[in-house]
Amino acid sequence: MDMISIDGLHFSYGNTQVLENVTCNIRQGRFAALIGDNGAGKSTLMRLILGELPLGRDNGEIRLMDEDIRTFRRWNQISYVPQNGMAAWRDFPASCEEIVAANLYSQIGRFRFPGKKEKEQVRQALREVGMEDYENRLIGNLSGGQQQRILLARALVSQPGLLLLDEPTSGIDEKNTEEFYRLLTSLNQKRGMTILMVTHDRRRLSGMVDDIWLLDDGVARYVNPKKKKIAPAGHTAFTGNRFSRQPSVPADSSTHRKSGKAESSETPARATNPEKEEAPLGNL
Amino acid sequence: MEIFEYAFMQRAFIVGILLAMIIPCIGIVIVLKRLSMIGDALSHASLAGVALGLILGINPVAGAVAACILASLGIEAIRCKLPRYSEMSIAIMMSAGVGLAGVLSGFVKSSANFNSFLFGSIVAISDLEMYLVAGISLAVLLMFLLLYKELFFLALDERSARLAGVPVGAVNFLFTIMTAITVAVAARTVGALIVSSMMVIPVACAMQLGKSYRQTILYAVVFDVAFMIIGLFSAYYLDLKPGGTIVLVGVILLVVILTVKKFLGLAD
Repeated sequence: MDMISIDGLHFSYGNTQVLENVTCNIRQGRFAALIGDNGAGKSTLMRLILGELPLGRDNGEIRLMDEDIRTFRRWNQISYVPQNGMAAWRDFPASCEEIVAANLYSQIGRFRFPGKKEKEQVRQALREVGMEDYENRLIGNLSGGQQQRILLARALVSQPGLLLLDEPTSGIDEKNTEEFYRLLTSLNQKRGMTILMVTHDRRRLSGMVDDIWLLDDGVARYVNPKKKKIAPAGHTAFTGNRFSRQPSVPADSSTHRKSGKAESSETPARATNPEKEEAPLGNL
Repeated sequence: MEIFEYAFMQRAFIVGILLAMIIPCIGIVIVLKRLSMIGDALSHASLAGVALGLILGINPVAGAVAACILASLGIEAIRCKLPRYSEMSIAIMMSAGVGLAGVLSGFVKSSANFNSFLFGSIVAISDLEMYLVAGISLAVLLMFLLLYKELFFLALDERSARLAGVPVGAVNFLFTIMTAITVAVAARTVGALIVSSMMVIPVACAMQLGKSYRQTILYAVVFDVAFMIIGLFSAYYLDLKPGGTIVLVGVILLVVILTVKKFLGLAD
């Protein structure tokens, strides 16, 4: 089953086209990364996936867990980890236990407070991210890496089918970033949890994620994650024809980008099943 | 004690303590949502309602409540349109409230009545107003307890709250109404120019000591009740204006807490 399936998606803010013709999918149990330069449309795509922006009938299609997003109601099966905002959490008067328990809202129900069962679930989620000793600490007193682990525990406590992360390691040091990624990989492998992570951190993706989608000029392109090096930000890996629903152009075709800046040596491919249809990569 | 021999002081204590219990409950959510100035905007809007009430010959508190509800819905509407610049909505409503109050106050015959809303008149409230404050305080407190989880989650992270199933729009709407009513009633007693301080200062004090959200709320309520009692005693025995004295007690205690915390090396 596709946890996320996007087909022919285009979106604009007024006259500014942000997404032109995005087609991509993330299958159940995969760990996928969405990469792209600043302004490539990653945040807009994330907001569309989260149902925060209105999707018209002629904007293309987004399906979550095989259901049209316009009628999708199972939002409690999706959890979200925001960007680290240490400044925002500084002095925030809430303990880690309270923050994690918040995500059990639909389980606890209205007009009730967390009981023994919910408190044990919170402890379990904190244990899973290695933060069980921080249950009663204020989140503002933790380091950036620890705060992200708490937010990850909050996302996990409700046992979601799909985990979305928006640049979760920005502003976090190397060591904590490595540990955070190891945690995500382990969650994906042990729990079979589907993960989509928006990130700028291309260096570490190789060998960690199953699929990489690159947003470039409003178009999504599949990148082979087995490549040892992923192009750093500002050096877009793919160039060539805009991705479309038309059959893929031959792999050796060279076309100019709209901007005319670069010449393609690669071909974007429609990877409805990334395992089988990978776009070939050149020297990234 | 001599102070409690007067019926007006008994009423002042009852109303003051009730308000001191609900104002920080609203205040903590406002502070955590980074909307600390909302109290100022609403209290200024309430002045426009007071002026209109006095002109039309209806109860000025009812006018203040109506103006506050309209202003708070306006703030929420602008905030939804411009989520990244939510403070702008407060500035717009505050300016509109001040402008309207300024123009309408020119038509008010009894300026003394209008001025009593600027700095409040907690020692001059009637029995009817006391019952009104008591009813509203209980209703707001009950709503706050019923919406405890929802309000915490919204203050924490509105996006995740929506994903988790919190009816974000409905809760925001209810909270907006609760805030508007609280501000309007508090403006009558402690003063429109002071009410937002009563929302923010006890929360600021509590945030220096609280080790959890629940503890911070409890501390904020205790602080606000203490400010109210100390303020009323000081106002009575030192012959000061009660509204301003209550707030100044809060400011002094906040400075003391921050200084002691720094002195003991507990600050970040």
